[in-house]
Amino acid sequence: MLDTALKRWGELSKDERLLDPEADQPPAHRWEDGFPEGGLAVSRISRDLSPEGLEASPSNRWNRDTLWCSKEEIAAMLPEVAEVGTELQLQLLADRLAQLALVDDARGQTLPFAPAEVALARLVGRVVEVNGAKVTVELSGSTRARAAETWLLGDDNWTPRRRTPHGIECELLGTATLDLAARSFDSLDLVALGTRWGRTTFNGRGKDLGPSLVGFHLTLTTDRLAPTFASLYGVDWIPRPEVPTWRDSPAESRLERR
Amino acid sequence: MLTITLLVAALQQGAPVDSPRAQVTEGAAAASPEAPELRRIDLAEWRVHLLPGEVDMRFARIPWEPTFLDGVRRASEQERPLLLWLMNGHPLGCT
Repeated sequence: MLDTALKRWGELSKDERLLDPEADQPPAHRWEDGFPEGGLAVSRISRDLSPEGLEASPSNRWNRDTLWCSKEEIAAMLPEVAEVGTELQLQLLADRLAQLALVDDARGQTLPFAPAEVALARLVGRVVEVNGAKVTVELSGSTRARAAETWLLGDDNWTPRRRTPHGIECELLGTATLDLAARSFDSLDLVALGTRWGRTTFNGRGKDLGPSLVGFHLTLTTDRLAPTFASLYGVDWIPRPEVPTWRDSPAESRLERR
Repeated sequence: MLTITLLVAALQQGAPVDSPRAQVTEGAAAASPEAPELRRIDLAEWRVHLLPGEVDMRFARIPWEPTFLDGVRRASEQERPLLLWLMNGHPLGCT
């Protein structure tokens, strides 16, 4: 097939081979345009875990995603000053982790949780070192989320045709360095180990309802990859497309979603 | 009997009702594996265990363009054909 395609391409005139200038239009919307300059951009890796934990070879079932917080959101979570022993409640980050990032996607595309489906979202940073405005914190936390059959996140391009119950609970531990003057994270090294159960339509758990173990690692990134569930952040600093992405032509916009 | 009842009650109190340990899947109570204890001393090992290795990241050696249009532009500049390989799934879906 490739040979045939190459032969046909060779038969085209040069004009036919080149991009039509009228078609050279930048996309009207890209989710990565919402990248939080000066805020928090996190790379998140998920991986299936064996009950043997570190004794086992790493599973080859893994996935990656990103998580964003704006500069203003981070600034609102951090104190002006801190001393050793101070405990920082990083609630917005905990909520975003529980709803949108600590999800069962190690084997494929999955769904996020609605706020009402999160039973527990806790992330605390305990200050262990202060060096001027630079502060080192030890992170610890827990999340627990459970989704029933009802989709609670409204009409979106993630709205599933049907949904099956699933859930996940995690324990988190890690370290971060914060710049309280710049109101930002300088580093992040966060591990979450947890148990997932159930399935979503495309997450590869059809015959593996669990419960089974999953792990996550989170660190800072400069990659401008948009979070999977960017459309569900519900924040004004992530631009949304003027036309919902699942109805991107007048013909399609007349179609009822099935 | 009282002892057994109390024991069952105590075990049930160990897991919240929305916890995987309290779930029943496909008609049978599934044994939930205990997640390994997460200790601060093991964090570096967990990082290595969880992060993708060199083999995992082979796909990243390809100089991907962020959009199809960027690829078409580059193909035009180089006067080379472009192979479009599509797969279903949400564009951000980490499929």
